[in-house]
Amino acid sequence: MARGIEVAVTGMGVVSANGTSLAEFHAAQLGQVSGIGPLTRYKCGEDPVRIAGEVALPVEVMLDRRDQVRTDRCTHLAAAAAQLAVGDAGLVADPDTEGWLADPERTGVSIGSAIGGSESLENNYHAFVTSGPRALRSRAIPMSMTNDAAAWLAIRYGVTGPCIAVSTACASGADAIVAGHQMIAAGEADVVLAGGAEAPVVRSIVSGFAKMGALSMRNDEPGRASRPFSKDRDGFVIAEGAAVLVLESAEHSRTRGARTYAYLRGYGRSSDAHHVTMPHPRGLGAFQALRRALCSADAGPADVSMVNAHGTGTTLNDAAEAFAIRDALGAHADRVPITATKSLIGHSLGAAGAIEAVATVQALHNGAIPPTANLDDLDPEIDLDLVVGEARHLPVTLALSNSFAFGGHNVVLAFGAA
Amino acid sequence: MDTEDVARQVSEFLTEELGVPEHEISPVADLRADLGLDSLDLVELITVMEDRIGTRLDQDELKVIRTVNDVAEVLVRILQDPSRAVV
Repeated sequence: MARGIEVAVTGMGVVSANGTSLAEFHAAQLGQVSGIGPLTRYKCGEDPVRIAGEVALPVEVMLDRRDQVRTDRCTHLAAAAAQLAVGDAGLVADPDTEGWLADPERTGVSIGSAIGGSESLENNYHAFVTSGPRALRSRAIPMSMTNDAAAWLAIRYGVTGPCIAVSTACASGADAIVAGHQMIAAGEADVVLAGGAEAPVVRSIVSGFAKMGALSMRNDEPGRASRPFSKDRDGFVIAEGAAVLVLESAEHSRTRGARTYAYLRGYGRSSDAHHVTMPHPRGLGAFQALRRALCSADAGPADVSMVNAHGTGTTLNDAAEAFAIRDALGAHADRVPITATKSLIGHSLGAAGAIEAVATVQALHNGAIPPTANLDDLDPEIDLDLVVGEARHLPVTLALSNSFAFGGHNVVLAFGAA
Repeated sequence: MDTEDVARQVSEFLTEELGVPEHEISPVADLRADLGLDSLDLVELITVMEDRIGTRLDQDELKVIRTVNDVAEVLVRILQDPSRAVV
C-alpha cells in the first residue's frame, strides 16, 4: 500500500448525467442507460455541437436559493455530491444541525476542477465587455474561481483541516483523490472529502472544445455519440457532474465502525512532457502512470482484475491508452476486463476522475463490471478485452481507474477490495 | 418615488437576486443581522440601487445603512435633493 498507510473509502456521492444516487448510477452503468441528450443549458442555435451530458439535480440535494445565487453551478454539483457522500459515510449526525461526527480539525477537503465556475465567468465577462466594470457582480471572482467548490465545502461542514483545489484538466478529480490520500498518509487528516466537480456546459467552453475538434458531432443520436474504443469514434461528449469520496484512515474508520467499500491502495502519476493536448502516441506517460500505480499498490499485472479506462472517445486518446494498458499489463491484458464509463455519461473534465473512481469502487464492491456502451465495432487497433453487451460479474480484487489530461497529466488510482 | 416605492424595489432585489426568502423581509429588517447579507451582498445591493436611481452614495450615507428602510430613505433623500447630480 502506498506510503505504508491504509486509506479506506467509507462513503461516496455522485451526481452524473445518468444517476444522482449511488444506486441509480450503478444500475444505469450496468443497464447501459445513457445520460447524453440534447443540450439545454443554453441556446445553441446552429452551433456544431448540440448534445451534452446534463445533470438533473434532485431538490433534496440542491442548495437553498440563498446559496445558489452566491455560487456557480460547479459548486452546486460539488455540494450535492458531498451531501450524498457524507450521508453515505455516516458522518452527519443530524441532518438538521449537520453535526459532524469526525474531528473537524482533522478533516480535509480536496476537490478537483478543470475550469471551476465557467458559467459565472462567462456571464461576468459578457457583462463587463458590454456594459463596463460596474456591471460585474460583486461575487464575480469567488463564483468563478476554481477553488470555490472546495472552499464552500469546508465552510458548509465547518471542517478546518487542509483544504485544496486541484486543477490538472481532465485528471483533476483523480489528482484530488491522490491529494486526499496524501493528506491522510502525511498525518494531516483522518478524513478527507475528495473528488471533483465540473459544470462546463457553457457556450464558450463547449465551443472552444468544438473548435479543437475534440467533440463528437453526432447531434442526431445523442445516446450513441460517446463511443470510446469504437472504430468510428469522433470525439467526446461534454458533460457536467461531480463525485465526492470520503477517504478515511483505516484506523479511524475502524474506530468509528464505518463501512468500508474499498481501500485506495495506491496511485501512479506522470507527465507526458510531450504536447499540450495530444497524448504521447504510444501512451508512454500513461504507461508510466500505470506501472507506478501497480508499484505503489505493491501489485503486479496479474493482480489487476479490471481497468476503468479514461476512454474519452477521441481518436488519439483511446489509441494511446490502449497501447499503455497493453504495455503495462503485458500478456495479462488479454484477461483484464476494460470498461469506459464515459460511453454513458460523457466527459465531465475535472469531475470525470472522481465519478469514475466511484464507478470503479462500485464495480469492485459489487463484483460487477459495467459494459462499455456503443461499442458495436471495436477499433481493430485496440488490443484489449473491452466489456461489451452485458456486465461482467466476477470477483474484483484490484481495480485501476485511469485519468489522462490535456497538459499531459496522467493519474492512475488503484483500489483494492475491503 | 417615495420611500415605500424604493423599499419595495429593495425588497424585490433582495428576493430575486440575492435569494432572501420573502417572508424574512420587512422595512425594519437588519440587512446583516436579520437577512444575513455579507459585505459582498451589500455591494451588490447598493450598486444596483445606485444605478436605478442614477446616483452614487458617499461613505457617510453608506455608514448609516442598517435596514431595508435605511436604504430606501437614503435613496429618496438623494432623489429629492436637486444638488445631487444624477450620474
